[in-house]
Amino acid sequence: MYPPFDDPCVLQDRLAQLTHENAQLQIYRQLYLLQQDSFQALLALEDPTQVFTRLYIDLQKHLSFTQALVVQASADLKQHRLIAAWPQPAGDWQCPDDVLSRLLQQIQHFYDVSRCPWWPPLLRQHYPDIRCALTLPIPVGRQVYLLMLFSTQVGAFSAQHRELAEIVCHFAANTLSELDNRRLSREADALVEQQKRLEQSMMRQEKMAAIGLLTAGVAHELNNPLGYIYSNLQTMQHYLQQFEQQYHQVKSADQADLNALFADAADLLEESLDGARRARQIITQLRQFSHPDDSSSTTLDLAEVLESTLSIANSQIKHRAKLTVDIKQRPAWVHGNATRLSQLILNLVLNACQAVPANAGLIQLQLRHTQPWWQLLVSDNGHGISLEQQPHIFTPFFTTKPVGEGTGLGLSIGRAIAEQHGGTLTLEHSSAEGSTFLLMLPEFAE
Amino acid sequence: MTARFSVLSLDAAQPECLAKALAQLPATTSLAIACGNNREIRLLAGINHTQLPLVAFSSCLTSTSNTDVGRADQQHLQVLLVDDPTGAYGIASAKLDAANLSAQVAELLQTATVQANRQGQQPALIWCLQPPGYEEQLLTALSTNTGPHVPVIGGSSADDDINGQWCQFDGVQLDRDLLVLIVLYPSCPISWFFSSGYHQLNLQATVTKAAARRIYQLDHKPALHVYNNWLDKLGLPALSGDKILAQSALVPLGRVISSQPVPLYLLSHPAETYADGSIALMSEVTEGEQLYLMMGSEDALVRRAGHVVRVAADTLKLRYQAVPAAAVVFYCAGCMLQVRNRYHEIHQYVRDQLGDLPFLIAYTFGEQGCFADGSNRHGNLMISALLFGTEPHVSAI
Repeated sequence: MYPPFDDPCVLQDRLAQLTHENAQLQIYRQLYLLQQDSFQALLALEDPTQVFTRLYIDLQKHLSFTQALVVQASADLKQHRLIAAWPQPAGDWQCPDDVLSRLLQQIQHFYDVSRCPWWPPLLRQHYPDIRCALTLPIPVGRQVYLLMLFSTQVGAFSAQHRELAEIVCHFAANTLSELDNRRLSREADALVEQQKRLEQSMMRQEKMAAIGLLTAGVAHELNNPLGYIYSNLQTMQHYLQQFEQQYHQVKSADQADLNALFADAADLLEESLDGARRARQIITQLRQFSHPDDSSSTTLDLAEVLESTLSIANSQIKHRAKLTVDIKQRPAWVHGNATRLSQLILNLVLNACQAVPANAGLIQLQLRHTQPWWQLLVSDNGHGISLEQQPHIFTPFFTTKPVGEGTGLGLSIGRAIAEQHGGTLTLEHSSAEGSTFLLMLPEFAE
Repeated sequence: MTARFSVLSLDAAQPECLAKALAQLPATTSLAIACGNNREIRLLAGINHTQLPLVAFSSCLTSTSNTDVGRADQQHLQVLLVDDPTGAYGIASAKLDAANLSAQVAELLQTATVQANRQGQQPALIWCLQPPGYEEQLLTALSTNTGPHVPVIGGSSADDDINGQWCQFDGVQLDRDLLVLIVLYPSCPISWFFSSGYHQLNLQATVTKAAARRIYQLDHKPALHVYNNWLDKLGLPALSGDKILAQSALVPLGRVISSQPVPLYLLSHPAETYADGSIALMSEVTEGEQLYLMMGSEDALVRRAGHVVRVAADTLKLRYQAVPAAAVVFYCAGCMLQVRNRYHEIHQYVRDQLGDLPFLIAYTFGEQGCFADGSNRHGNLMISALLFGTEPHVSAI
């Protein structure tokens, strides 16, 4: 049973206790408000020294000390330096590593450092008059700070003073962590941006390399229609000259000859137009493929992208391998960038083409739907990829081709493109009988 | 690992029983403090072979624990055991050298902090055991050596009839005037409260002539004359003679040591009167101090120990969100003698606050403690409590 409150002594004791506790709480509250006010201002600072200078001013309002200093050390304690001191110590600052290590382990509260056998003589030289010391480690990320408060009076700091200093140090740790986080975030953003630029640059380079590889085939493809267009048009020119002469000089021209000339001319024109359309299509596809800044995403049919890409690649492949395409279902809606997906498919097909034996190659493509994915399997009957090489094939600049024949970026960029589209690119199988790559892209569902 | 506490009530009637019990004390004990009647302490000193950090001091008539109300006709020894592997404790002792107390305290502190492996480091608390007589000088010496902020708690050893048979035991030597200092760096939070159970009457005078613990004049009149005049106003008989401790226990002198927000009183217990009209007290007064006649009651004294423990427990909760794990109470022997037939009530009031938790109550001839304003004092007729705290879910051993 608790003593009744009508006992004035009991009331007095309770009041004395609560008043004392309240006084302590008021100090904590003032400190809290002070910190709340200064938090935003502190976050605008860049340098830990400035932060500690500000906190030093706050701490001085509640704690009577004669000297204060802040040491910054690396987490392994191999390096440390004095970053702030009020007042500055006489001579060059030095603190033995073993002492610093000891002080950084936990809060130390000395009523009289002259009684501590391991208190370093160097510190005594710097501050000969100090007796009482409070040392508080403040770990912040990979750094640790040590706040040291000194007084020339024996036992100048109480347990409450220590608690106050601890609160300030917690606040300092939080503030410095926040500053650290902001700096790391800025650095991370810069790195991401740099990586993005690098990736774009690599993709362009790889694309240009692919275009370079295609040049011979494309030139052949264009040369063929242009050849007969040229030939046809020359013939047409000759026909027109003949027609003009016959029209003016021969009134009774042989109707049968003219009819044959007109019929042949129509065929020549039709063939020329067809050739011109083919040439224009090839050029359009090449322009689309090599477009440097196209990063837009749309809903597109992967089957169409596949066919369009193969029409470009076919000129390169057809002399080396037989290409079969099995599209199980269409349209194959995905959300993405046609140019990049085309680049990915082209890389896979050209890789396969380079792997197969000349004139006996077989490249099989199969597009199938396995909800919620579209899967494109690219198989070849090439020599396969060795077990030692398999872990590295998606590593940038890894190549088994002779120097100058491959950038080593094709598969790594291919995987990056797949991942940008929320998909994956993996080596499904590889043996001496050939390899199969699997591209999986998420289906687009409206 | 959390600090753990227990109080054992050992049968000290037979040396064999006590020796056997001592041999069974846990080897991991960080600190053991025993308390009992001076016979029991002497018995302990005679048979102690333990290597544990054990100290002991005598209490008036008996001592009380959570399991033992305490009776003068029983020979029981109460032992507080502290098992605190991550804390640190150090003990140092010497025969009290009143003429050279400050230097002696410095030396003892050095020895104790070396034993705790915390040289120069501020203890959370200093526990002092000493004979009655030089408590103020001891507190001054402690303050000189450690500064004003280390809380001090303790009780002056007592005997049964103030004939100087009190004693202290430091684990090796037994004496009646040993000064034992214990520095505590516990891993758990601690709290304390120091209070009197008396209220001020509107009777006051200024000390105009005094020397140490002897008061000659109040308001330039013989002190005894003024004091007896006050008693007369209360309808109480005048006191005289060489043993007035019992008669003056409910009407001591008090002075205000802090007035804001409420007055805190430090009491001086009149012990003896002299033909020259002076009064010997159990604590010092100085000239210029304002003294009041204080008034206590048996009921208030019986309730006080529980109340003081309650306030200290509130401090644990307010400051550390902790609950008590164990308690030590120094209860003035003068007060106890006034209510000696009501031990069980004192015991019950403390149990009301602590339940089955371990606690120890020593009945002392002078109490040292730390007031709510942070100042360490020695007083008479006071109650000083020390509480060890713990996280709310951890129980005592």
